[in-house]
Amino acid sequence: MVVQFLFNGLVQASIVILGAIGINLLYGVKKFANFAHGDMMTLGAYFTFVFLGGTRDLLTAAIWAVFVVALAGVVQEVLIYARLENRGPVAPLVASIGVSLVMQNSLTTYFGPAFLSYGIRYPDNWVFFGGAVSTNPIRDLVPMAVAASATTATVVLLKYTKLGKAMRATADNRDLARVSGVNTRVVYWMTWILAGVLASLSGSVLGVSIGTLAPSMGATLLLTMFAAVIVGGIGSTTGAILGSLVVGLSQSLFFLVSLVSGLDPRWQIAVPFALLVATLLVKPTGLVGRPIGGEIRPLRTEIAEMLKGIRRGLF
Amino acid sequence: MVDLSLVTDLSRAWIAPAFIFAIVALGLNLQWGHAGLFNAGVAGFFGIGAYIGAIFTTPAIGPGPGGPGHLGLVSLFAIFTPYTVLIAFLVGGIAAMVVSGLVGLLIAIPTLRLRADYLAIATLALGAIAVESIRNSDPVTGGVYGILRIPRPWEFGQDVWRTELAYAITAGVIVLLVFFLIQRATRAPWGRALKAIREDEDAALALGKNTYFLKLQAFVIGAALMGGAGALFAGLLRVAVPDSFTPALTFSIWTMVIVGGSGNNKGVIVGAFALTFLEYFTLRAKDWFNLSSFWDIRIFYLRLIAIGLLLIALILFRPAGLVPEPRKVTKKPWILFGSR
Amino acid sequence: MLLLEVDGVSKSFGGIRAVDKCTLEVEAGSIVGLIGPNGAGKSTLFNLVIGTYSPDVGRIVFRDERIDGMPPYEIVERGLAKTFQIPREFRSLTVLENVMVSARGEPGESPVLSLLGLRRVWRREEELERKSRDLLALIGLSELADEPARNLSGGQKKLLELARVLVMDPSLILLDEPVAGVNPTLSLKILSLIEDLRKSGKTFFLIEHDMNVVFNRCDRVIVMHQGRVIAEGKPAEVRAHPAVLESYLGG
Repeated sequence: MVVQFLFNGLVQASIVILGAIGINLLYGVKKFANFAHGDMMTLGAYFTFVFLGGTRDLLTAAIWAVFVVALAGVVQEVLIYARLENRGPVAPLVASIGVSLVMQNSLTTYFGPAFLSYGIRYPDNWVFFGGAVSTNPIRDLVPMAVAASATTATVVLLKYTKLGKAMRATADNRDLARVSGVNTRVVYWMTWILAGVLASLSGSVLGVSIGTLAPSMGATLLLTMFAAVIVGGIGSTTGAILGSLVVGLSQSLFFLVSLVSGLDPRWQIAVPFALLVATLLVKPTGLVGRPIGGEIRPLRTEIAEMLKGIRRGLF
Repeated sequence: MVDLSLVTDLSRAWIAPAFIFAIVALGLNLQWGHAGLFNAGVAGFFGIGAYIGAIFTTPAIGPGPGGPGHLGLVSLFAIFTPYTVLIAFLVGGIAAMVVSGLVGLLIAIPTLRLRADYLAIATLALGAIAVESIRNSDPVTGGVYGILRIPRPWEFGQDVWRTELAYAITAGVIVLLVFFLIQRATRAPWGRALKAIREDEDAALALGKNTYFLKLQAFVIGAALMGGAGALFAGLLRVAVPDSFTPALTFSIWTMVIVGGSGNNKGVIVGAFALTFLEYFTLRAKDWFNLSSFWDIRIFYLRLIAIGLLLIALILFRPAGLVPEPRKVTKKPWILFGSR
Repeated sequence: MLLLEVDGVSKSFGGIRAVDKCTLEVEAGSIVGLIGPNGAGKSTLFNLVIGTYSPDVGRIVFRDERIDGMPPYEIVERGLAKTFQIPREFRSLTVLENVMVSARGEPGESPVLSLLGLRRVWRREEELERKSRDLLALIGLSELADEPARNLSGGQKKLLELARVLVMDPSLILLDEPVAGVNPTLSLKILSLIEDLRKSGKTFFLIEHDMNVVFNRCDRVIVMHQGRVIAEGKPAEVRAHPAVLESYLGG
């Protein structure tokens, strides 16, 4: 039983992981939190649907969709984010909220609010380990396969290619990278393309896994993806991967515990949030993240000082 | 002779909501415009306040065919007849502010010491979880069904226009009061210290300001204002349902603050009226322009697209907002309007 | 009387030890210069004293009270103040507001009191405004009192830094390069102001690169190199110290 839920947790993690890596890349290289990332996933899912009409082959449709979303990323960079470069972390965040609103509601305007579907016929579940694990090859294994391969490709790219090194250098210290000859504009474009590719695949996979498409499908995952990134450690791809696993498995295990102990299982959506708050309380840099600048004093010191301040400062 | 149905419609669908959102926006402006704190969970505080207000003014209902039922405390105020609802309304409003403020305190304590974007993510999470918790707490909040038939302190039966106008006026008076208080506080040394923190927190810290505590004050007071506005909102709609409190609502309030110019309280109220008019327009467009059903549904999404584009444009070209900010931060309290 | 004691203080960032077992003292009523090549850890030391950073090891004692580990607002309360090497003015506040916001212990900074708008609060505010305007007159920024601070020139921003710490009425003032990049006339004005203030009882600890200033104005000089104190004493003694010469020419 536990194994089944662990497996489900892995499936959940697979769906989150590609988005989380993308968010993490954008955060590391461009230093901003992209609130439109979920909607980029939705864009990918919907364009897969559009191209499906033409090619009837899901894989080809998904690949074409990747081009669209990657392009959308570059367009955003050129029109919006390049101009916000030196304005701190908040300005691009607000802009990304605007982008999120535009993307999500454009899709709804065009396609309507009703659910869509890829029209896949799902085969019966496969059963492993003498009945201990039941899984659907399309619904569950496809996300895992896509997640595993895309993640590996990304890690390889970041670690061993010239582009990857350039991206990591820019993330570490943009001005130093520039002075050392890195063309940061290209790096930014490639980051958006990479993030877009991962987001689009994630969206297509989400569409396959849930079976239906809704305009808010990606946005509802935004919180879980941010939780994964922060729990794992912002600025680190390993962190994003680790965080996604932790969040996915915890959520699934909570569900198991709630079924067994009589807790309301609807609360499972609070799990990523609880992990997020716990991380911020105990170790804000996450499991493997880098320090975020400045000293952070332990929480109890802050609370003690706050109480002192209340006594003195308020009256 | 004034068209009474127009009075009703404008009061209920534009004026009153504009006043209520103005209070939320003033709260957000305190957090963001004055203290530089990015609260992406406005809808959560607003919703918490709405439900608290609803619970105080509505009678309790047990589970039944209509739904899981909900908590209701108005019977506690029965001794004040015939002013039961009025007293419940006032107490509920204060309770809403207190609870929202406390929730704000809880979320701010661990996150204020982090960067603005961390606070954004944490508050986004809070907003979502607050609404989810409300949705899942069936016996208290009525779950997905919510709380219905929320009474108002002044009801005029057949004269609907009177009822709606009275509520709009109530909201307006409260806005004036809130505006007066906030102007007073932000033009005082407190506001000046907050502005300094917003500009350059490290410099303020080195000059000996207890920046953490000051930011906490701004956040909690802002959250309390949002909660109070929520209680007013519940009375306006006469229902409290979880689906009213979406991230899109948070982003609308953000747009009001940015349109008005972060830090400028008067501008923020103007922004609230402008954005709420946009919503009113969206609702009435079908009737005014005889839209087909295709566009009738889509106009709501077009409104959100417009808000998104407005946000992007403002951030790119007019981050200081459309209404210019006053030059000096501090002024003596008895000069409230106009500059010195 | 010993106003400030730094005893065996070390501070590392990542793998880099910025301050290394630093030990020094500042006597009340003196002007002490802190010199050393770039990267010697001087600004870091100032940040440690004012509380922006906490030392990894060691003690910092001010007026016989340990202040290491305290947050800046508690340290400032006890009578210390520090300027920034590169001025950090509050750009959208006016010059006057920049000075007024720096004052410590303002009752008006509590939301409750400011809301009540008590006479006490506003009377204190009026006093503060008068005091701030007097200070601005002293350093020569009076005409710019109502200008947003972002419109000031570099030298004027340095003056503003000075005014901001002076309004706090501190006993020990840490000045990080007070006359760097300032024209000679203004420099002279600032330095004679420092001397006047010293006569009225204030103590100054300043980081400077201009050797004329250091050797003509300071009672004592402390030399840092690679995070450590390598020499200290009267200006003439230090000037001829072999280790000092080496650190500037070699290291």
